Amino acid sequence: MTDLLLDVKDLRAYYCLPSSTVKAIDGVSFGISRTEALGIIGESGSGKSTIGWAILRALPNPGKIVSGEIRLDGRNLLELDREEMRKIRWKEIAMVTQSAMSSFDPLMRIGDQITEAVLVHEDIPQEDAIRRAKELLEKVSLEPSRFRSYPHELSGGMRQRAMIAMALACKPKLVIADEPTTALDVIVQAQILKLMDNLKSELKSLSIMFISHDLSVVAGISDKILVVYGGKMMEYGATNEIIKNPLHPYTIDFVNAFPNIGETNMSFESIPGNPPDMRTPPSGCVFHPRCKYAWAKCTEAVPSWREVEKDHFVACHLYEVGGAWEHGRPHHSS
Amino acid sequence: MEDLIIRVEQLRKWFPAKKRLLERGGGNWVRAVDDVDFNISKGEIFGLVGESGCGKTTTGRLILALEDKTGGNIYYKNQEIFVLKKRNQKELRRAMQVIFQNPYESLESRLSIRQLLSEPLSVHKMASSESEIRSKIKGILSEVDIAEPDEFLEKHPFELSGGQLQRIAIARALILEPDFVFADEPVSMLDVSIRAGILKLLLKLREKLGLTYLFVTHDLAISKFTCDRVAVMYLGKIVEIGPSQEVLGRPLHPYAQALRTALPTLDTDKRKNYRQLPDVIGGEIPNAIDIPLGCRFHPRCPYATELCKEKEPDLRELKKRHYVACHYAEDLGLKH
Repeated sequence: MTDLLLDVKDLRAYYCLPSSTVKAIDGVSFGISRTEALGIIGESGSGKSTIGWAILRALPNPGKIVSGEIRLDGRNLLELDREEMRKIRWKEIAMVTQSAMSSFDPLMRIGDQITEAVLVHEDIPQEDAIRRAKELLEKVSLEPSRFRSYPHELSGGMRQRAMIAMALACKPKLVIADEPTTALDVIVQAQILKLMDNLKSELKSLSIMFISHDLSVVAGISDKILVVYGGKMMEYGATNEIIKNPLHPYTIDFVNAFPNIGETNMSFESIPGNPPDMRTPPSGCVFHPRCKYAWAKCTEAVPSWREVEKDHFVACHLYEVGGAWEHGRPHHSS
Repeated sequence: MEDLIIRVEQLRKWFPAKKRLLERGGGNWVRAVDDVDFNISKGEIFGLVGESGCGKTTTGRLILALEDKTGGNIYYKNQEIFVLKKRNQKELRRAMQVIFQNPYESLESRLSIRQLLSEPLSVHKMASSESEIRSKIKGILSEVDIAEPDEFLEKHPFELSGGQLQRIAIARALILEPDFVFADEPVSMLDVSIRAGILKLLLKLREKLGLTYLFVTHDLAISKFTCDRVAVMYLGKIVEIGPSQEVLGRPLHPYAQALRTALPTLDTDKRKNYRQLPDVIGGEIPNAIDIPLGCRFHPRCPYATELCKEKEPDLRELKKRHYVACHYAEDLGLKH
């Protein structure tokens, strides 16, 4: 058995509108090992959330998975029928989203909802399911009395804790967290991130896919980071590598666009231009219209995915034969 | 004395709290802004920072008289804004402008960019002819760095990107030649990759047009970059106020310190995994109806003593122009 839990290969998911087709993700491949946390980072419209929903095969209409493979423990999820897929959801892959309020049934007590989630997927006596729900609430540091609370009685932070408890209800192998702290204030955000990071080290078998637009949020929890832009993969590598030694011009600019409060003279720069309109994506490399290093090849051909440094992958023509950075990126040119 | 544009004294805004069904009595208030004082000098960028519900946006709305006050006073160039006559109020509406958080909502989607920009001019009778309107629009668009104004004018908001829209919103505020602008989270709806450009534009326009800003944000890093001075608010009160380099670089109030610690960072040398993060502070902001007695931060404060439960601390000047509302600020300042 390999160490690889999730193996996504050349995944394409499109939104087919009457007048156009939006290629939200267009050829994305990556893996998540057991107990690993992968951060997926991108701006709005990059396709990062679509990746999460596609893995659960729960794309909103009119989204469709066009091609590719999504293997969980070797099984291709795209070949499963509805009933088999239903068993995978929550039992093997659970999701935590930005708005916990809309994920809970407003008319059901929190504890009952977690208990129900357990009972639907596992053939165990109700008392055991209730006991597990209570343990889960304790694990996410909610008071036992919250078992009997309704969702609206909880604060935003408490709801997010309850949602994490519910995601863990059936001991999934993978939790997909899609902007789980974006709606929270900074102090509560830190509390939730700390909780997730603790759970990750405590539950020896959990992998996390953490989707966010905020690189600084992703950085503290992820082992590896995948950078997506315009539905394509730009760069993949270990978290510190991506931040300290970004190789793709997009990642270089993206890291530079974050203000660092620790600097006395803060410098941060916008990336010129705007994210692409995915109804009419640019030719060649999707980033070329905003890239200050773009050359002839970038408008013509889609760059291939290559390992430029050990375990550090980039899709950029600059690193190809004849490209300006063929022998390595010049240091801190920006 | 310095040239003050805005003077806020003992400002208070209490909203009546909704009574629950069958609840008797009354007199519950949400104390959104609770006795706040500050000044903004000409040419200054003054920031209000804090978490949601701390009263920062309500304070800004009060300054523009978009809300009625419950108590206290606001002076704009020494005129009390809530007692101005109608005619003067209209002049105030021109001189004090606002940039809202979400340009997708603040710009009427059925109007073209030309209409959006010419409407304020005609409301305030700032242009006497079509050609004057045209030249003013062209002028302001070049100020906000929109290169080819002609192409833009007939477009509608949905045809523009978020960054372009926010530039239009800025142009719409500035076309009336105001001297004070309230910027309410002006970049928080925008993609990270284009925020710096909008902030630098606001800084450039301050210099060029001699503007004064009130800048409201929840983002500490952005306020440190943009503001000259900031005030940190908690539950309707200012807990720390001073030069932004000091307040956000080395905060003295325990709440401001907690905000700073909780901030995720890209600094790889300092960065730790979240599980190594010290327990910042527990709990969440209490309901603004049930404000704790004494220091309102004491139930969450790791350093709180009996004194903090009983006596609400006043703002005290600890360093030059740097004020902190904490009984123990001197000791805490040394610790950090």
